[in-house]
Amino acid sequence: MREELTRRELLGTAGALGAGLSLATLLRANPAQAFAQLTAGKSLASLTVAEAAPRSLDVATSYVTNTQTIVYLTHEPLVIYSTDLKLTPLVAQSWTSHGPSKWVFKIRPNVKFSDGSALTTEDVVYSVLRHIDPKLGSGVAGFLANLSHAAATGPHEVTFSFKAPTPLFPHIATLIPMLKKSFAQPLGKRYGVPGGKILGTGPYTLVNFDPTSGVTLDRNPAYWGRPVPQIKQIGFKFISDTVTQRLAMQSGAIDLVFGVDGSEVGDWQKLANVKVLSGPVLWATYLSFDMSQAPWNDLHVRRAFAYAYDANGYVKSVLKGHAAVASAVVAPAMWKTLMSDSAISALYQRLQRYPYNLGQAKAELAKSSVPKGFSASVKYPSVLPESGKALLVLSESLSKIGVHLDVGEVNFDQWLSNYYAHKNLGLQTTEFSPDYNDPEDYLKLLLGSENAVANGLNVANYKNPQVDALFKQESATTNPKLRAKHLGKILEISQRDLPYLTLSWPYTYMAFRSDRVDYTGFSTYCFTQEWVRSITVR
Amino acid sequence: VNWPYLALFVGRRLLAMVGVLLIISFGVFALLYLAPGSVEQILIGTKPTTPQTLRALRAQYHLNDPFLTQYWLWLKQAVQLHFGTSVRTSEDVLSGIGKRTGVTLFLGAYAFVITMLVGVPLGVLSALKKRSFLDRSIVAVSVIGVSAPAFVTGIFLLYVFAVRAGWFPVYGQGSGFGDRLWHLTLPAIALALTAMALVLKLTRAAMITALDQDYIGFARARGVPARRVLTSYALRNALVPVVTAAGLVLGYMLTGAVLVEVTFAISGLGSLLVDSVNFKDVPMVQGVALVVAFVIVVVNLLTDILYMLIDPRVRFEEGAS
Repeated sequence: MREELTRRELLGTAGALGAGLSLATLLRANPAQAFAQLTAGKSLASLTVAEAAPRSLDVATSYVTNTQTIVYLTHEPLVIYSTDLKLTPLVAQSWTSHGPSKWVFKIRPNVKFSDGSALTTEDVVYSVLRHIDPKLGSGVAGFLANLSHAAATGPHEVTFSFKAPTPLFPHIATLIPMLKKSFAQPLGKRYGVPGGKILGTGPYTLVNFDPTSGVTLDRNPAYWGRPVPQIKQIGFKFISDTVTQRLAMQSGAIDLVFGVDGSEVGDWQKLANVKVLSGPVLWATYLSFDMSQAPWNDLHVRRAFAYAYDANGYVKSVLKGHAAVASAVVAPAMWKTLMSDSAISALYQRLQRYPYNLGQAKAELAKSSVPKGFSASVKYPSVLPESGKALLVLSESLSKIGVHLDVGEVNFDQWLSNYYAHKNLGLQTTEFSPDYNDPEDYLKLLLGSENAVANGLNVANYKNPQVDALFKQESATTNPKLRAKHLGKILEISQRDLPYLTLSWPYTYMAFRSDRVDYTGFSTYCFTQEWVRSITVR
Repeated sequence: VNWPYLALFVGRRLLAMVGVLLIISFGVFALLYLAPGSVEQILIGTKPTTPQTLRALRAQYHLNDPFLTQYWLWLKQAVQLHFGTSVRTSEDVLSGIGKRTGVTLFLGAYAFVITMLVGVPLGVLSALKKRSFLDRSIVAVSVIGVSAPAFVTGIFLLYVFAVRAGWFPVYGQGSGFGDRLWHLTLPAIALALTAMALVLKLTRAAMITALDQDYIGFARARGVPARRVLTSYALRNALVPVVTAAGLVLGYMLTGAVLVEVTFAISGLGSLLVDSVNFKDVPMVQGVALVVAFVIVVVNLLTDILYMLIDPRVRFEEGAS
């Protein structure tokens, strides 16, 4: 409770507005003191965030958002996304490609760890290479599968070489926080475990990590960068139940929650002094058709499903508008690093659409190999109840054209096991959060034929030589225009071939105490951004 | 009390406990092995990965070995009290359990005390005023308590006493005795409400039976004071079924507090077990299952010993007089 008291004390003494006193009353009482209080109020003694307990404070052993939310305050990557989702230098000063398979990063000379020691090129090389050591079992390894070599090529320069073209390495670099080799290497997999120590270059340092209660971070007094964040201490409280999170925010015990579920937004919005923000759509939930099996190998069947799916109805009446109606597997905002807004809308105009139309669904089915209809089943993972509802909406209209779709729920582990085994896929439903902001992320994982294997995410078993050739062309260049052209073409083809039926583009939400802080520029990537800089103290 | 007999009795029970723990460890291990999903998949989730990473993770957790070899590897370490490292939290299993046992014991004991201090007197009161309005009201309220799920009662208590009144904190477990008592009061009440009806109704029934006995009538006829009749004559005789229930209730409170723990964001053994099972975290599940089994066996043993103290006629072996 100590942190609680410090915050209350602060609000009582320095944060005049936070204590509920009006400015006028205060000025009348003592103008000089009031001014001192107002300026002091620009800094906040502590901010409390509620989230579920992470496994560790190392993205290698815990590549999940609740780890990233903390780690990106204590550690920094070479490159980071700005609030408008553009790549921005952080530990690196600049980067250049020497062909699509080689990247040279200039490292800032003045970056220091929180213990005062300087970051070296050796630390940078180690921080990246550790992820491809199979013994570490890093969750980031999949993004670095083509990395062949990393080495210092100058006093402040590191060169990364790849076995295959990797035009997106700067995006991938946003996922890799810098560690100090001499500190992290001896710890190996034990880096960042509960009760342990970590060492990064970020604006905060770890005070303690107790898996039973939370994480406390203090502002790093030796931080190399400027400006210094306004908040002195950040506490993460491990509260997994969302109702408890709401009660805690209502009582003022927590200030901020990331990842508010769309179905609960209404409950959050009802709370006094709580503001809910939504970010640009970057997620997708979808249904995949295993194209190596009948009847899903029949384009007419897939189209019949698409026409029979009432996306508008689902988004409006089931999701209460907490998602956008989707027109492709990739959401438009993911193209922002590649093309202008007008070019993006032109691309989405060109995509083939399947508006809800039972007549057309029936006509497509009549042209298929199963004109009289058929029975099929789909199981959705228990963690995605909303997808389950979308499938029920679909099943309802399919029954009108003679297709019986049996919708059932399955335990997440069982679902995941089947998903990875890549056998008897049939229909699968899942949702995808992007790793980095480039459309290639989703497109290649879902449509590249090399991912239509066990442990691969192309669960539609979609294999199109034309698409593979376009991927090859796209990854052979770092030119955004060319990449946008090839990837755009792939998106068009995928909407025509329809290996996936996108169910919705869910919005992402966060909530915070608007009487204490304000938050600007929220996005799905907040976890791997300098999110603390999005906060202004009231 | 027959001390040598008691020592023999306890010794035998402790020996049997070793067998019970062995069977439980094998059963839990087998069930986790049969359950769908695999640790390396759960660790990576629906993210892209490389075959090398998955292979390395499988090797690290001995997932390629046959089932019996995996169990044997675990057992060899476990008998030396090395329970390994948790897959999910990367903590040492014993220290992870240790960190959470304190709060679970505190919460369980606190809820148990509330259940007993409220349940038994109300049960006695109900029995004394049987079929009155008061009796019916007490029983009705207790039944509502047991019927409402603990997380609903918990949220209701939180809203009223933590958010509205501000008397108690919304989450957390506190540090130090006083702070912890303050933090765990609402969770303990929520937990106690789920078991109070059982204790209350058993006490009521046992008391009604006891009060109907001839020796109560004789005691009253002899002019024994009413309070003494009630406590030494009726209540002591009514206690055996209540103590049986109390043992069960204590076992339940130490292990069945998951919903309350989640609602009040308390990191206890219950939520640790559920989270670990969901993660297929074999070392942690085994550790917690054994600790819980141990606690239940010990509580049952203590209950049996308590019988002997309450009613010296009780013997558990044939031939004992």
